[in-house]
Amino acid sequence: MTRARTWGLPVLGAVSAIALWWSATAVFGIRSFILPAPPDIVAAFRAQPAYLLREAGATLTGTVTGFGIATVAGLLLAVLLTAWRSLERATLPVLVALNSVPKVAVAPLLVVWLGFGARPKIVLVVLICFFPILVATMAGLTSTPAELGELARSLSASVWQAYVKIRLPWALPQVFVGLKVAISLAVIGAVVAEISNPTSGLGAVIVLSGMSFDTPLAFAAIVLLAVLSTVLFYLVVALERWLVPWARAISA
Amino acid sequence: MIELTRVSRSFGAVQALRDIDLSVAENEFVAVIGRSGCGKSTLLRLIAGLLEPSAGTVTVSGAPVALMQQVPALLPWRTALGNVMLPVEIRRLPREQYRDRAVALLDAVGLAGFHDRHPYELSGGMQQRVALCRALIQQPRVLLMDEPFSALDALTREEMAGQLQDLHLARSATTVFVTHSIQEAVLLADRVVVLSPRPGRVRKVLGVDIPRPRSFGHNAHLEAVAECVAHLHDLLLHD
Repeated sequence: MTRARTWGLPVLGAVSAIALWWSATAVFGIRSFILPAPPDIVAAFRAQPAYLLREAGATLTGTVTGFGIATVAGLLLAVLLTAWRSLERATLPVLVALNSVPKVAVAPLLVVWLGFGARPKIVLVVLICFFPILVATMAGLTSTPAELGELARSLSASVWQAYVKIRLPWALPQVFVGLKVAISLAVIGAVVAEISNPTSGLGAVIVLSGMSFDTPLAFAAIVLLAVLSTVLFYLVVALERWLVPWARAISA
Repeated sequence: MIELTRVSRSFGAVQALRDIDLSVAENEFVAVIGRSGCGKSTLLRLIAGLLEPSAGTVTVSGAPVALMQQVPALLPWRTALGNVMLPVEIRRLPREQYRDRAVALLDAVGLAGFHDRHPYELSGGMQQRVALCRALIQQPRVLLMDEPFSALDALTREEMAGQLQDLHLARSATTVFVTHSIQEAVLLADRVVVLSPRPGRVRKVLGVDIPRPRSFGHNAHLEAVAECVAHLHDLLLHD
């Protein structure tokens, strides 16, 4: 029963959604270039699988690289800002202001500044997912319980030891809240960059197929993006379960 | 070993402690007792160096100083053994050697077979035992305890107080034990310091001349224990 609930219900939901979509296209006679039926999308994928997978690979590389850079930078800056409160006072308002700039608006400028390679894409991904990681990590680092801080002081732990042995591990569940938000944003960032500069990636496939009214191909790219995003999200969840198994135990 | 001279401490406009004079000799066990909010914990934090006095001086000779808190304050990602080893890692002591000590300590407080359990798999009493082992692994010359058994059920309290007595008799350290339990104070202490509240002042220092090992209830010194308990009751109730 529990097994059926964990696996059966989500599958049932997905299958019914697809069935509903398929029957809608059939019943209302919707033409393929407006809303393709599921078989059209499968056919579009099977017509050029190598091309689509190569472009998916390009999107994946940009997403993961940017996400990785944002994670390292976000963690480091969070440690720096929580360890040095005057720096936090000086820089956090600037960071908040920068974050409130719509990233979509920056995408064309990044191409002007950084050229047509992979760099503007990576930079946009970093910009879009850096902030949630920073904010979540800072929240985690400042939530160390008072008694643990007192313990560290009573043991004459250095600032470094207090971070490595107590504060950072304690912050990990919060860090993962940020990472889970960021990984979904990272895929969006990569696609936005590809749409504004359609040289490679699934975003480019969507732009180019739109121009030639090849809607099934665009849908194939969108489905691949959804799969990519979902897989990345659950990889982060798996990493969380592996690194912080105790978080679920103490919050349950 | 521990010397407090005319120590006062205020928090903003509130004076928590006023003119405390106290000296604790080497290997002496001193219990500090008083009502809630009388500054007991503040006194302990001053001795631990976690707070600075507003006036007066605090000197503690002898290191290391170990602190045991009211809550276990265990790291949830570490096993019982890993938690006991934390001071060893932070103070950069030889791990192999202290690992055997940690194992022996956990066995001594009745946690054999629980070394690899995480805190969330242990009861409150077991967690506080792990915290006791973590304080003792450093072989402290000074042991400061802040109501360490107050969150436990009555039976576990008595049991742990007994274990603490055994450990103190086996390898003594200068100990300051803050409590609001008269029974614990009489069971464990050489001297009992009674604090009066707002602002905290030393009302009375009472020597407990009852031979060790002592126990709750059935023993040869029932009369002496009862007398001591009654005296402390009086002091605390009629402030």
